[in-house]
Amino acid sequence: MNSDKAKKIIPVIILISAVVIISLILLIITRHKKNEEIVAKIYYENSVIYEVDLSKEDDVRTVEVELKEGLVIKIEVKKDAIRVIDAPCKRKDCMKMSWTSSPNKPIVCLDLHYMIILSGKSDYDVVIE
Amino acid sequence: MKLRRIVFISLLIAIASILGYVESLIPITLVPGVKLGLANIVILFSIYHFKWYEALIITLIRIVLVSLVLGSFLNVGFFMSLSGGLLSYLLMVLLKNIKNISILFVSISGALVHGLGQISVAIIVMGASQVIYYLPLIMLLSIPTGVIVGVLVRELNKHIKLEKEEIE
Repeated sequence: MNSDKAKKIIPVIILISAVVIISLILLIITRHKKNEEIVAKIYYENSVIYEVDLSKEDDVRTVEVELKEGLVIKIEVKKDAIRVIDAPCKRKDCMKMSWTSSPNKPIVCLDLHYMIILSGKSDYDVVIE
Repeated sequence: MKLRRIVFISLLIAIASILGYVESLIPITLVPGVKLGLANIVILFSIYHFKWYEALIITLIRIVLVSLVLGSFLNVGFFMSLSGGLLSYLLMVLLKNIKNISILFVSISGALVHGLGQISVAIIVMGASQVIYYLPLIMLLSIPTGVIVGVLVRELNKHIKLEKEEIE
């Protein structure tokens, strides 16, 4: 390899290594603690509108969740997993994501502004009833 | 601007728009909204062969046209593309002018910043920091997409040698 080529390839290798290292560090930081009880929360406009304890689900069942009046999404829940099977959005990205069972893989719909986020029960700081 | 140059730019806009549309049909389900960045081939090519403002025109018109075709004009997806597209364009133009920086480096950096720009808009719009969970994945995916685009443009540059008088 001549020095000219080396001069050009070294920054690329450094860049790729830096990106991989930073991404892995971020992955570790953002990864939640492994909890036995997984709770799925559906957020709409920043407030929780539906909550389900996925660890208590035995069979697959379908739930209709009303985000607001006239705006209904259909979700399917089973043991430790949740997915969206019908939503009136344009891109259907939420449906394409299929089953999620990890806090690191939230379902986010940018069209309808709702999110499904998984968390363990131990994440609660305060419970208000 | 000479007619020949306008025709070249129009052709590039058309190619970028078609690539942008085609890649929207290829879903990567790992992270919603992640694309291969095929349209970036044209943007990177234009940065190397045209003036900075001409490449900017191609970038902007491409984003508007693709969003009109996909029906996402002026909604969240549009602003995500716009911020990602403009940020990556700016960085690529700046890096291109630095000596000893290869096209691969420019391309990977562009892809990386494209993702960062998009996720920033998503966080602002959704008002939730949970979207940041996607950041490491988007960063990792920007390496293969950046490499693919960079290699393709490098090969294009070898084979398409636009003569100065040809486009001026």
